[in-house]
Amino acid sequence: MRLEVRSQLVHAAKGGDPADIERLLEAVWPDAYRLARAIVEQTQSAEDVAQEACVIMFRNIATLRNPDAFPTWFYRVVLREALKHKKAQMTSMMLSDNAAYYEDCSASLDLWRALATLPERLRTVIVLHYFEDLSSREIGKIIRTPEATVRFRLMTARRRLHPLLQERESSPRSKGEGIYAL
Amino acid sequence: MHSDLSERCRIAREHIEIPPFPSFSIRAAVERATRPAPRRYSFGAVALAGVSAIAIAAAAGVLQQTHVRFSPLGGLVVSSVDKMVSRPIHANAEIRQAAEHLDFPATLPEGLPDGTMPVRLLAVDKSLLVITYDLPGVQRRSHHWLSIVIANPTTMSASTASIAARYRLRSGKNMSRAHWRVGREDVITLSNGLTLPEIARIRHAMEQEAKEATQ
Repeated sequence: MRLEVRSQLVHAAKGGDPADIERLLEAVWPDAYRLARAIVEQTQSAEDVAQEACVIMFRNIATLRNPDAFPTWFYRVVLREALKHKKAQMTSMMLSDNAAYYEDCSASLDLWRALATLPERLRTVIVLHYFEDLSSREIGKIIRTPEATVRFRLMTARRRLHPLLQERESSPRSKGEGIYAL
Repeated sequence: MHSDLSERCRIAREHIEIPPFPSFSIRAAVERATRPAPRRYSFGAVALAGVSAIAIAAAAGVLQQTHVRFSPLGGLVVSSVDKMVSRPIHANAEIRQAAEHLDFPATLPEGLPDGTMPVRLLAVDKSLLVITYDLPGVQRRSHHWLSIVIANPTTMSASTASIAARYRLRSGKNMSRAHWRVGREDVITLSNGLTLPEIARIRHAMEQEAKEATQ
């Protein structure tokens, strides 16, 4: 797993001292934000999701029976919050505040667009596998799905992404494309 | 494909800018969540109070379909019951045409930097327009978008805050914002590319325009 948290931090946080919990959450904040960002697509929403996940972990860390299971629990909480957020978002249009991002990372942008075309269940496995370096088995544990199903979804997702990324490589991006309203 | 995708994902992941850890917000949220729940009223009492509030709001003519608020994190949020219609535009005449359908006397943006081009118009209900402009000048580089929101002041009132919004429009919290009232409308500019004197010029020009319209 990409998430590396010192077990002392988790043990200390389980004690319930707010300062210890905050130290742990601060350590995992970048991973929480990145995962949320990869699922919900929008920076503002990703921050809300990561923050909400941190609040849940803050409140429930004491109930975590096995500290070694923290990474799995962490991914599960962030993922659940991100998917919940996406579902609740009936129609939301992001007024882009980071035009620099659009202009500087065109390769990444193409990937984001291609990912956005994937259905939730395929996008989730791709993000967990390629962004978080998780194995099919670990992903299966997080999303409570058999390992073989995860592998099948990964294969399906790769097949769907392949032509999209090829196509985008060959066609240059027109100016202003991708910026919805602002 | 496999390794190419890995590489792309790695690059995309590295490009994600991490905001600072919101320690204060998390603490505040945890404290809020652990506070004892407020007293619960019976369904009948809530229904009666709700009906009365709606009746009073309807009588006062403040029942709006759209609401504008500034989120605690710094962004602007427009909520609406009606669908938001966004379309590309190429001339100020199209903005004037759209403004004719608004439910308040609109003063359109004036005093913009020379060479500013309108590019997109978004209408929300009859009470709000978001006009996006492309600002000129290489010095603005990536900050060349300017959005101006002109809204009926009733959309900003607290009485419209609880509408059952089906559509939501958000601005990024990092976007610099200016807000003022001119005539009978609220104006909000959202841009990181405008300088303070330029904002002052727009405001002054719009105030002049509103003054001339009332005379």
